[in-house]
Order: sequence, then C-alpha cells, then structure tokens
Amino acid sequence: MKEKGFTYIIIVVFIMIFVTMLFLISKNINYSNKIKHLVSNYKTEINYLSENNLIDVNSLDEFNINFKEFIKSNNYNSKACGIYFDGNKYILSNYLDANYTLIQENQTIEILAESVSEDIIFGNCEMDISLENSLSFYIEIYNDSEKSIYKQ
Amino acid sequence: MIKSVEAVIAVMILFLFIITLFSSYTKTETRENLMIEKSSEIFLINAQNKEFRDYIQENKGQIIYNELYGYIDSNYSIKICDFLEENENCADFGDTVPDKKSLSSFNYYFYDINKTLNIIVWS
Repeated sequence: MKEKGFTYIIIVVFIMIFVTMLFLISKNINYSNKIKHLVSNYKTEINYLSENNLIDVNSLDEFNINFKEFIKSNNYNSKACGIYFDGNKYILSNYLDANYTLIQENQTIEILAESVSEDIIFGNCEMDISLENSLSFYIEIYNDSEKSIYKQ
Repeated sequence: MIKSVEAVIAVMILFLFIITLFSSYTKTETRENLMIEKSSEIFLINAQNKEFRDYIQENKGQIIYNELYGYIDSNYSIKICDFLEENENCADFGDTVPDKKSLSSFNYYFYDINKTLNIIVWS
C-alpha cells in the first residue's frame, strides 16, 4: 500500500512539472516585439508624411537615412525602398543595399510622370501606374536571429 | 521507509519552490511587456495626430505621461530626446528609472520633428 502511495506522489509531481512547463511555454510567446515596433514606427511615419503631403526628394531621402540610423541604434539592420507619386512626378528611394538599372543604391531620385510609360519596379518596390496609389514602400528589419518584412 | 517518505516530501517542496519562483518571474516579465504593448498601441494611434506630435515637439512630456496614466498599471517613465541624443538632449518625465536590469522599453522616432520618444516600464 505504501509503495502505491509513492507512485501516486511521483505521478502528481510529474503532472505538476508538465503543467508548469506548458504554462511557461505558453507565457514565453515572444513578447519582445522590438522588431515589430520598429516596422510599425516606419510604416506609421511614412504614411503620415504621405497623407500630409510632406514627401519630396530630399525628405524621402533623409527619412530613409535617419530611419536606417535609428534602427541601427536599436541593434538591427535594415533595407528599405519607396515610390511616391505626387500627381506630377514619381519619387524613388533605394536603400536596399543593391544597384538597379533604374536607381543606384543609397539614392533618391524623381522621374516626371509623363516620361513613365510602364510600371515602376526595382528590388522589392513596385508601383502599378494604372492604379491611383500615391505610396508604395518596402521595409525589412533584421539581425542574426530575427527578421521582419512589411510591404505596402 | 520513513526516510524515503521524507525525501519525496522534500523533493516536492523543492519543486513547488522552483515552480513558484519561475511563475513569479515570468508573470512580472509578461506584465511589463503587456504594458509596453499597450502603450505602443496607444502611441501608434496617437502618432498620426498633429496635436500629439506638437506635444512631443514642444517637449510637453508631462501631458503624454498623464495620458498614459490610465492605461499603464505599473511604474513607468518617458523620455523625449533630440533624435538619437539619448543622454544629452533628453527631457525625462515620470518616476525615476531604477537601477535594475528587468526593464521593458519602447522607442518611437518622429521623423518630421526629429525627436525620439522612449517609454520605460518596470514593476
């Protein structure tokens, strides 16, 4: 009878350990969302600039430079690109760490709308000129263990 | 046999202690992170508001601190800095940040006014 009692105790202990492990695992769902916050920050700011007509060649260029620096200060690396259409011209910004036929790396340029006859595509950025979108962008934030991508 | 029973009881007490310790630790950490999540949601909504951005630009951190008071059920502090000048041109509002490692924080960069907002939460 006494041996049976010990068996019950051991089973209970194992159940307790098992339940505790489940609890810990469920609580450890990644709450460290720094990377998600950075992506949201970029997304909110670029949309704010677009909605308030604050984007031109210089501001979009400075925006990407500053954000890269800000993200770096948070111990992450980033790649970003954007295409903005203001009604007369397209503004293209390339901070994807790669060169393209249309635009070189770390550059922001503008192209008159009348000289654009087909969709604008470079790297992960694209804009369908038949649609009336004014902003398209791509942001990738990463380090050795994490990566987050957002495309609009 | 009595010794064996004592050993089992001792092990159980030990396990219960470890479990309570871990549970308490994760609960605190999760609580801080939930507060950060909550405040980041509030900021992402308010960041599009011109009036809110004006508060940041004018370093009116106390107003922002007060607005968060109803949402953050923990100790917290906010800091408004000129872009990345984290230690030089910063204005602090709220409780004094304790010298402990378990702090949760959230940074937000406002491009057009070139300021960074930092919220630190702890229990």
